[in-house]
Amino acid sequence: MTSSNSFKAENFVIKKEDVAQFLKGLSDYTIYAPVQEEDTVLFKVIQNPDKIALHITNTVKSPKFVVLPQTETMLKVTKGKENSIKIDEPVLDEKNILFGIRPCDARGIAILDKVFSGDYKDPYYVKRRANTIMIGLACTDPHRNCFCTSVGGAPDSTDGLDMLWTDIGDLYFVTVLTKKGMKLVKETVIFSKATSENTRVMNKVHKTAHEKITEKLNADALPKKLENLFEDKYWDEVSMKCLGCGSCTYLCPTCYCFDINDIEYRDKVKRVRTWDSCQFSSYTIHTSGHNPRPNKENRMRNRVYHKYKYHHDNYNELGCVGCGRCITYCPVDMNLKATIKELAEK
Amino acid sequence: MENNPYKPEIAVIEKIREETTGPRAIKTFTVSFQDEKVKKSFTYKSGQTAMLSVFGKGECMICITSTPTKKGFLEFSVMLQGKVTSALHALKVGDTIGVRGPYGNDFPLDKWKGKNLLFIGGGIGQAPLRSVYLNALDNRKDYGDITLIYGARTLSDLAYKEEMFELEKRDDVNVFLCLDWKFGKDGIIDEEAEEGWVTINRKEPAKTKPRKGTSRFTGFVPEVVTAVKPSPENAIAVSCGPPIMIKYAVANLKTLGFKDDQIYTTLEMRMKCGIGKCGRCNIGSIYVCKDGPVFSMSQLEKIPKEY
Ligand SMILES: Cc1cc2nc3c(=O)[nH]c(=O)nc-3n(C[C@H](O)[C@H](O)[C@H](O)COP(=O)(O)OP(=O)(O)OC[C@H]3O[C@@H](n4cnc5c(N)ncnc54)[C@H](O)[C@@H]3O)c2cc1C
Ligand code: SF4
Ligand code: SF4
Ligand code: FES
Repeated sequence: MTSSNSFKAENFVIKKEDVAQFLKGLSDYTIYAPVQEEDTVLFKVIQNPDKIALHITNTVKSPKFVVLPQTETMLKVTKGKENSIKIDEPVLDEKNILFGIRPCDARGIAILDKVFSGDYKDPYYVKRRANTIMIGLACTDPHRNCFCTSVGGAPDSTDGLDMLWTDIGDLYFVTVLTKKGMKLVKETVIFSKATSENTRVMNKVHKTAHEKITEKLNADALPKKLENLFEDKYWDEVSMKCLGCGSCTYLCPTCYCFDINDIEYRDKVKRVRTWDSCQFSSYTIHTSGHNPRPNKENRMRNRVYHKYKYHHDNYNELGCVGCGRCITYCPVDMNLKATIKELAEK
Repeated sequence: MENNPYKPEIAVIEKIREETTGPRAIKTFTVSFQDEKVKKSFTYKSGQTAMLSVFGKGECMICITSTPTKKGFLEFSVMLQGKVTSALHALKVGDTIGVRGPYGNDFPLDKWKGKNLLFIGGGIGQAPLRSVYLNALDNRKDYGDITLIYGARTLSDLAYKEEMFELEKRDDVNVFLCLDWKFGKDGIIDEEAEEGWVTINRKEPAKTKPRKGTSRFTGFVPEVVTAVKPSPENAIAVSCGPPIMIKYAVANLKTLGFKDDQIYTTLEMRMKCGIGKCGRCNIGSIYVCKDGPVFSMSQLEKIPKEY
């Protein structure tokens, strides 16, 4: 599902003033892009391309909800006469474009792709993902909490993307990475072939962005380090001020845990999937009251272990893309970057 | 949607047996799939589980307690707990439920061919064991001695009672039933209990003299293990039940010389998806729903003690 290997990337440019026209031409698609409302920027369905806000490094919520909605109806069940039961599944043929997704968030979706395929395919995710085209926007002005380059990413990473756009002044430099991406470019005459001068400017923009992320954490040491730190006192200390609010996991582009519940109204039932969080005690508690992760130190340890060891054990890559959201939006300033540093030094 | 693992198949309840009563009552449901094609194609192995739905109330994970050697139906023993299990207990013969699965790994019965099998169960923990020993008994010649030690608090808390009493009569299986409470004394009287239950020597359980073959005891399951003195030679022990019972039963097995890779159990974690996606049943990097629920003690040594 990630960019097909057989495709040879091609480079184009588009004039900034033509972007609105390009997007208006994509009327078969539902387009999600960053939109500013008061002082927050969030991915929303856009009708009017002029509303798109690309000036902010990243949105508060990650756009993972386009492929894994915060709430979705999985099944509709109708109870009929004589115990008859009819189960309907949703039709998921809406075609989506994620416009302006940042490289870290696209890598987050590339991580989810592996989780939701495998032994058991999750047909809801797989269907939505197959119907989603991701147009990425390279970062030129990384936020102070960004650390993508420490976890295998980059401000110009192409993982998971169908196109990567880079702001090179009056133009966007457009690298087309997949057939899905090429189809959009071919449909219009708005794009022109990139010149070698365009490429030179693009490379310079990428290089400058890389240089702005000065800090390099030794995150790669963690999968091994954590083998022996499960019982460490560190978890008690570092989790002390955590409120267990779950904001970190809801905003994270790679967190995917969910709950399934039934909602009943007369003879109609909806089986609904909603995001859940390993930071809640209800996540693991048994009916008997026994809880394998009863305290916040157990739960915070699980979050860090999942991203930096368990996911690595299972997929041979870290489960964090370094977007920094869990740091920026934690109400009590928990700092994953500091945690990584401290653990790497243990 | 093709191959939707979240979509249950509809099954009809054909029989309900009340195993035990009270606030933690156990009922065994015999169900069969409405769709003939599904009825034929649904295969499972002993130790695997299924997600049961009561539409409108939700789902819960229950192990398949019937044996795959008997075809055409599935049996589930459900203990009354919360929302979904209560809804299941309220159902009648003829009602429909949803079933999806089977999930998880199984007990490696193929690998155990030629070995002596010892089953140690307590309370609802007998449910996963039942599928395995009924399976082994249906392939009797493939295994050496088969021994069942099964305990409950009182005689009325003993599930599969009639079946157990029938097994007691067979001479190709050793059955040791045990009740926690001594009747008549300690102020606790089990009305239903009959004469003939041997009281365990609490100070030195090993000195209790069981009859060869089949005996009935009053005493805790781990003590009965010590009294029965199963030999670790060419043997596999499987223990399922309350954590405290497993803990002491395993300790006593080890004293008898059983090694970690000869002892198996099942783990329980809260579950929602059953297929390794929703995240909550992880212990370290494994997901109990798909990588478990069956583990040997040597496998458990390698994962964090977070269950
Ligand atoms: C692998 C496995 C096999 C099991 N086999 C059996 C069996 O054969 N017979 C039996 O009676 N019980 C079995 N259980 C336990 C059974 O799943 C729970 O008792 C049941 O989910 C409680 O659901 P509830 O809706 O009645 O309770 P509620 O508390 O209302 O449950 C709400 C939700 O919590 C979850 N949950 C709560 N407690 C548990 C728990 N202990 N284990 C797993 N999920 C839980 C479920 O997702 C449930 O839908 C098994 C559990 C597991 C994990
Ligand atoms: S956002 Fe901060 S306070 Fe809330 S659960 Fe995460 S670490 Fe704890
Ligand atoms: S753990 Fe934090 S930094 Fe890493 S991807 Fe999630 S929100 Fe971003
Ligand atoms: S029950 Fe969902 S991951 Fe195991």
